[in-house]
Amino acid sequence: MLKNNNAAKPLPTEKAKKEKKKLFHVEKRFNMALWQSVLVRFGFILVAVFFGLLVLTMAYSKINPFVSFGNLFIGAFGSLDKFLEFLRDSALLLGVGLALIPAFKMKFWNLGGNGQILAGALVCVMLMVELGGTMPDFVIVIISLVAAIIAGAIWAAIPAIFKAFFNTNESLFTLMMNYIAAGLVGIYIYWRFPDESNIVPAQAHGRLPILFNSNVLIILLVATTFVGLFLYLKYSKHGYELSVVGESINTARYVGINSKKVIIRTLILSGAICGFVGFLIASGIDFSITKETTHRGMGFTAIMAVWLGKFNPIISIGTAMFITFITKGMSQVQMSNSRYITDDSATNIVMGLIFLFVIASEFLVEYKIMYNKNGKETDIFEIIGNFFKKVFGPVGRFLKKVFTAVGRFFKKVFGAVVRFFKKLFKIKDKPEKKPVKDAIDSLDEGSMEDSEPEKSPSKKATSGRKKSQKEGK
Amino acid sequence: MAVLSSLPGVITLSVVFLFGCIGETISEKAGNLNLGIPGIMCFGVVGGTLGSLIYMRLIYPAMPVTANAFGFVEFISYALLILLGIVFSFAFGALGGLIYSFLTTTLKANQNVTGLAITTFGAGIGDFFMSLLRSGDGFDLCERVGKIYGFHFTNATLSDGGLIYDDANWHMGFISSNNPVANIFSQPSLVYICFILAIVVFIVLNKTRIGLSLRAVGENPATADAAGINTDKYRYLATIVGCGIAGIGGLFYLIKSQGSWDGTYELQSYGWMTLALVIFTIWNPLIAIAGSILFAFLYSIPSYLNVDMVTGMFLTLTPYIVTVVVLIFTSIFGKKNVLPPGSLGVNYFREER
Repeated sequence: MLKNNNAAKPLPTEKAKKEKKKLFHVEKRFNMALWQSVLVRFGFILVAVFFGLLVLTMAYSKINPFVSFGNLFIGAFGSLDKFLEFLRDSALLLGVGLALIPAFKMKFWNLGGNGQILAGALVCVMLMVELGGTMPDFVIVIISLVAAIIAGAIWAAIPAIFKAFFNTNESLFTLMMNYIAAGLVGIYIYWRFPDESNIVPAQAHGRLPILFNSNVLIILLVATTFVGLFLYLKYSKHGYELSVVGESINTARYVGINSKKVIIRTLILSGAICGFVGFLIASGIDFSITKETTHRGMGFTAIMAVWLGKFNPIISIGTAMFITFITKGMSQVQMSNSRYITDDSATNIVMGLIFLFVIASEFLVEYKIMYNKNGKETDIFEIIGNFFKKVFGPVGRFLKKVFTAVGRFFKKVFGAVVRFFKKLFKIKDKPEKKPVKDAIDSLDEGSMEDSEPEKSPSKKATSGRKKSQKEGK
Repeated sequence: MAVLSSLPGVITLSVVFLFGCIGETISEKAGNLNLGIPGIMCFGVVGGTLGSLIYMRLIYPAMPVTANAFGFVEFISYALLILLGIVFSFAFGALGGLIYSFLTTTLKANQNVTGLAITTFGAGIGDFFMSLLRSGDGFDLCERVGKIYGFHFTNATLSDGGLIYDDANWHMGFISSNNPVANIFSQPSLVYICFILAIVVFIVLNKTRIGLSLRAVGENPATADAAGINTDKYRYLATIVGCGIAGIGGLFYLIKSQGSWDGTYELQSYGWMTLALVIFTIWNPLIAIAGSILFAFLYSIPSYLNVDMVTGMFLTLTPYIVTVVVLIFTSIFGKKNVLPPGSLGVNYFREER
């Protein structure tokens, strides 16, 4: 009995000790500086690109990774045309991203970007085909623009209505809407053009007008949309409401926001912008439609772009450009090695790696890992920092000493030289602006105005010397 | 009659869906909405091909199989052939699942984004390694892999130059006749394995303690955590096993297409179809057997029926429309057991609230 009691007692304490001894522990982080988070992400991206090129090199020993790295840049910036195309594709991706941002801010997982783009493009092409030649081109453009926007809005509004009223799972619903839209495109092509090998021929009528270059107007239009949406999210009441709904539907109800209305309204906006992008693609670039009109699933790529951009429109510009840069660059890498790589697998691998690495890096930004030592918790970043300090501390201190000595020496030498030249050319330093406090003091001492001119020259001289020393350094 | 003659092909196709659907059901029941299934299936194809490559390079030379003599060694050789493919495709799929669950469970990354990233990555890996494996010293591996995965104890002839198979007999050998009804049951071994797997998974999910815990984690991880269930462990296990099963689906795609390989595009579209199927079958592997056959039927019927292109395309579209309708109906009239798992798509972080 006694033994049993003894055995039973230590158990809970042991357990407690065990729990205390848990080495790592994850906590939410609130205070990461912007430069730190940018540094972490870019570090991970670089590692991902490195890994991707490494895989290529290992698989095809004839590919030179350094040349490939150069080709990455040639693909996007090689010529003016390439650059404009790069800008255009970034703009389109950004456009879809802009459509998704309001929905995502509301925590409505709109995975239906592809479907909404296709809906817009399909309606646009249908109008181009049917109305072409019967009326002036600019009328067709306007009609198809409006129709495409409406089509995209409807395509997004259907899942939104069901989400608002019956809480239907929106990510699955919008996903299905993609396939339905793609199917409708196929049906339309086979129905309208059963002969010509089932391709919609490039339409001559209803094209977007050309401004300098066929890409410029598209870029400008997306830029306008960007400004509009940015202002809408930042300064309008709607923008505020949708972020409240995203945070908590209960809170929204509490403060008197009709969340159903907000959901439907936001998704109509989201779909409308997607439809607009569809219009831009159909009327400005392809003049035709296929199931691949969405550029290999732009709706999905845009999700990555805005997610990397933290649903912030301005950061999303950068991420959209980065993703387009990698896509264009990798297709250039593939083209220059077309004997070895026959498909876009290399692009997908590098892209996938970058996505995965950045997703992983997000953890370090959002959370901090606490290392537990003797019951005292410290951030693991700090430990690494301290380690570096320990290792490089002596070296650093030594270097600091050396540099300060060298600095002092230079100060002396150059200070003397500068002073000498100043004396030589009789350069006078400009009178320094008095700090406000001094000015007030001098006002207080108003009666002693006469003595001031005597004081000031000496002050000027000292400050002048200091300045010259700085220059010398 | 057209319907009857199409059935063997339909069932073969349905198994691709069914593998993916079972895997995704397990994963979603634990609360992980894995949009990476298309990519995972591509992983599986690579794994399966690699497994058979290993068989052909290492085991076949040691244990050759000839049509004349079929004894114990030959049987082992066949068994290894099938096992290696399954094990490797499972392992590759599970690897994808490991990446996914590491990112979502341990690193608390967004599930939708992670899934899409896995899909992109998997498609790249699939295209890349398949073209690499296929172009190896002028011998089209895929074509062979596709043809050897039936239990074809009869007419398979193997020569020194590799494996030569009779196209007509890549189904299970014990029934071979021109009777269309009999042909329905003449399927590769994996078909039967898959149907049994569906039943097993159903029992495990609904009748065992593990299944109960798993569903609890998916419904409400906070409650499950309070009840002493290790939520992270369950999510990891469910996703890894689920992805492994989906990976076998990728291998079966190669078998279904009898080894013809033209990029991952078609396989990816099957993967997305799988996601629809999971909803359609309201997260129930038993219904999934029927559902996958229905989907495969709708998907492939235009090529059997003599319909024009437009009607055919509309028929292939119906699975998605039906899925949407099911989604709406379950959300309006659904009882608890037909709704999506409560915390589907949401990560659990204990210190969140």
